[in-house]
Amino acid sequence: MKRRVVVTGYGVISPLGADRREFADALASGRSAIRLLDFDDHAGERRGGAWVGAPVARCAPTLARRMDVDLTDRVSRHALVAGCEAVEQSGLCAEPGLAVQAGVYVGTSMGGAQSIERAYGDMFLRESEPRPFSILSAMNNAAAGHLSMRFGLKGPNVTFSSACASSTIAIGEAFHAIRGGLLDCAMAGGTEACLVPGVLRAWSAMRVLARPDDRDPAASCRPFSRDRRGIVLGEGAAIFVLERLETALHRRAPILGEILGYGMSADATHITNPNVEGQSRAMSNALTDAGLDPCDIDYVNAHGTATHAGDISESAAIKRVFGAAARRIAVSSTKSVHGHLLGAAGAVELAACLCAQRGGFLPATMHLAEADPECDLDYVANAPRHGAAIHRFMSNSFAFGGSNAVLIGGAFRD
Amino acid sequence: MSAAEILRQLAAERLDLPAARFEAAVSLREAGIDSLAAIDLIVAIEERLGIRFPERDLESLRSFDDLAAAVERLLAAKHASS
Repeated sequence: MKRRVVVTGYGVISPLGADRREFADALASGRSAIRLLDFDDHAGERRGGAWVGAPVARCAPTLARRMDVDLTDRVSRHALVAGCEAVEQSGLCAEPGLAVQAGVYVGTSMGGAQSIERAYGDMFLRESEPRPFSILSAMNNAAAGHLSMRFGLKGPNVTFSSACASSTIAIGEAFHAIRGGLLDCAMAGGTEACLVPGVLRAWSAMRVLARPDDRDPAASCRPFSRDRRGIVLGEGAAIFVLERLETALHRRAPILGEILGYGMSADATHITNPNVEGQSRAMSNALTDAGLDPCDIDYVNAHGTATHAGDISESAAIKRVFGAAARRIAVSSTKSVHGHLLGAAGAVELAACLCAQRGGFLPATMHLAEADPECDLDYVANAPRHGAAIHRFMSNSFAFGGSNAVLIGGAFRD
Repeated sequence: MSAAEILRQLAAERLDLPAARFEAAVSLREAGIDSLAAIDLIVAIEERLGIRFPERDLESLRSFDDLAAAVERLLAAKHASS
């Protein structure tokens, strides 16, 4: 018999707040954290108001020395803050035997973007040497390394970088490792800290970013809407403590939910264009992995980035997988309020599913006055729906490069 | 400020390292300064004083006294050339 894998702790630092409580409260009220960004573009110009984004307001993990501050890019700081919250809730470190063997599975797309940007600025603008720790703070696996050091986790330490599917893959791989008997416990999740001028300008050059809504910048991200404007970037981290059910029960850890299935696929068609067949195959694979039927799912947290091609493709893929049940299932894109966290998106959105399931509400797709005619599902438009029971949920992540990954989870039932 | 004083100050600032422990230690490693912390300290000294440790000298800097002496030498060279 397959082992069961449960969530015994999770932490979230996001545009919506400093911890999982603030994150859940904001989702339950439909508050958007998207706002105009204003920062120095390195050329000495303030570029206020050119972009909207969803930044993390404050992130200050405990770092012992000034040297450690310089060693730790914001991407790792986000992971440490979310990781501390998760470990505290789970009591993981109160069980030294479990902690020592625990794995760390982290997803990130851009890694230490700020450190890379600073190094290029030092070299090409200020004509000085890059900082001595540029490599160590920029490398994609730095966050996973910091988590292992902070909590003494000596199992497998791996980082996944598959663009917007990174953290869904990290969590899915940790889930499979525990279910398959390789591990008893892992910290798994994703982190991103991409709101730096170079990254924004590079995304902007692709012409996929939303122009700020002049009237209400907070409403600039409008997934599934006829008047969608494109992607809004966000940043933050969500980290979960995943654990084999037996060890969680044995040590009387809080059991907050269960991971039930994980599916992947590749489009193998185009570097950016989404593909209905590839997306639906990932969802079907996750259902098969979970041993569930489409009608067992109550809520889908959509990838829903508010691009024309993406919204339409995902809606069609959901209809293909769920058939007649598609119109009964609630589908929403919480990116409408926290933006697209790239490599951390899947983890933060899995956290949104857990918050919704535990809080008994369906998170909304905000700013959806009129749906695109080709998007005809129940998107929980404009207001969270309270008093809804979610038993099992699905979270979709579809990446540039054609990597699709889907997680299924639900309430824990003995 | 002497080279030794600047070293004490930077070690405290960057590495949280008490001066007494740094000076009494036979080696940087014994003072708790590993290779990464040593690079951090050296770059901090270079930036504070506008000097540059030659790459080939780094291996021979094994203690507080070695570092202080090297800083004195580099400062003297800098003043002589300016």
